Amino acid sequence: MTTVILKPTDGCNARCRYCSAAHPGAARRMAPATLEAVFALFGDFALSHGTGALKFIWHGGEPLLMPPAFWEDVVRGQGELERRGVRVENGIQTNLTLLRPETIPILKRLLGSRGSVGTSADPLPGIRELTGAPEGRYGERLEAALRLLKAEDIRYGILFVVHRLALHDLGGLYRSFRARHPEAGLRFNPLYRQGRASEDRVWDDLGITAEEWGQALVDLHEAWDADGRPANIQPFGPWQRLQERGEWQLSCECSGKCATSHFGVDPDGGVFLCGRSVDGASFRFGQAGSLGAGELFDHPIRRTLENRRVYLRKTSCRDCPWWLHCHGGCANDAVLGSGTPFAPTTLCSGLRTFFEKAYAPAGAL
Amino acid sequence: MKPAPVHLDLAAAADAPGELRRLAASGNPVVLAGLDGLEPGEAGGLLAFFLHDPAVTAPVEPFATLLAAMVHRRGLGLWDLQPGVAQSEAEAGFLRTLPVEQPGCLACSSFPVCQGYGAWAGSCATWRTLLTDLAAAARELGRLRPRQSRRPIQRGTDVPS
Repeated sequence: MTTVILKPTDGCNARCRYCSAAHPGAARRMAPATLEAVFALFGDFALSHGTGALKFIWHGGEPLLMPPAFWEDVVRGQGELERRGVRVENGIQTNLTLLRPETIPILKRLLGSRGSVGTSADPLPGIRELTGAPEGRYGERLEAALRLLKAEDIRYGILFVVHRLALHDLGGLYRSFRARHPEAGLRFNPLYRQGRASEDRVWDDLGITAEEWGQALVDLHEAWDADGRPANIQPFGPWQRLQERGEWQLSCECSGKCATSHFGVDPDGGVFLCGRSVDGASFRFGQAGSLGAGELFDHPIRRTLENRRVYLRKTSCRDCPWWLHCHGGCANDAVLGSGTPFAPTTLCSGLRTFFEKAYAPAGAL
Repeated sequence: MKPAPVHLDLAAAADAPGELRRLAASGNPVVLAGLDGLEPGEAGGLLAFFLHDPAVTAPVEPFATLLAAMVHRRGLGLWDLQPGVAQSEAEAGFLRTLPVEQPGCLACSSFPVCQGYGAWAGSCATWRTLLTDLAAAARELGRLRPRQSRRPIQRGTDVPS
């Protein structure tokens, strides 16, 4: 299945300190004609070069800033895709602070029976806040929205971005999330030095080193282990299944095949490698409406990123015993750290430390 | 007992296609040496003979090994097939500089097998021709083979679907 991370707007009602998204000034919103061109491009791609299936992840900015008319266009456009023979799924990544009971019908229509909601949370004050609202309002609205999702039986997952202020008690944080949301998927990502987090004053406060990320994974893994190793906790679930059963269903940054599975689209219809590429303005393929499916499939950027895997295995990652667990990591991270995708990510040494402790026969946690 | 391979030095052969045809008719495996010195069209002609001529009853190397690796999606690169090259040093040194010195290599559809060897040996165009034709043949063979069920990967292999 091809995953398209689609950002209908780069506007947002929140002011998260470490937001990795680009903030170009005036917020852009996707026009109906652009949406139509995006659906046409990826419909062609799915039918001629993919598996005939598309998963759209509505992302931002904050996608719930888009008006009801936009979502009506989405449902109509996807109906057209289905009539062409494309199987369509949807997910949405939202801060949920704009979710209201009246938003639920359109959300359910969008998600169908298989889709789910992803959101981000941070219980520490001052990290995730709403623009023009008192401190703490973001968290209150998020909790209310999560209660609403539970009541409506809509599946959701929570992302926590690991930053310096959280390092001292990640185990406690893990247990707190799990106690309050036992049925939700949970994912831990490192803070990336991108967007607002690339500003020195933010990075000085919140940034983490590779070694700190490695230790964070060790701490979180201990909490996960004590929790009975639930399968829906990332990044541990997929790594454990790879370790135990050879199952290769790693998330995009570790799979080594993101170039064949993901795309990102900005509000103007610009087509990129993925959502992070949209935020970082890297790996841009062209413009929906002028880009053809064949051109997209055989694009030099896709070949370059597929070749990255071969190149790293012959060079920097040649003797790494953990190659299958990370494949050199995310190309965007490599560019952020080294200015080139042809290098491992700056998190490499931390990941190796974690893998040695968690999975090496003598040192398994 | 397996027949011993015979070597054909392409640089010394006055009529390489004719020599290959004669050696292949013997039923012995043939090992081609000196492909780097051939023009793309000449090399492509030898490959076409291996791929399509019914007179071929034994492997012609390195074509047969490369084709088998592509069909079975085994990671095999041109550097691995060069016993005469001080492989690790040349390879490591050249590859380190590749993103800066030969950025086009890293966007090339032949890179997964070529791995920069063609640029290093000055035979890029020849190998692009050969690897493009071999990949097309491997795709065709892949279509003819029965589909295998997906199995969990084994440690040490790397064959993403």
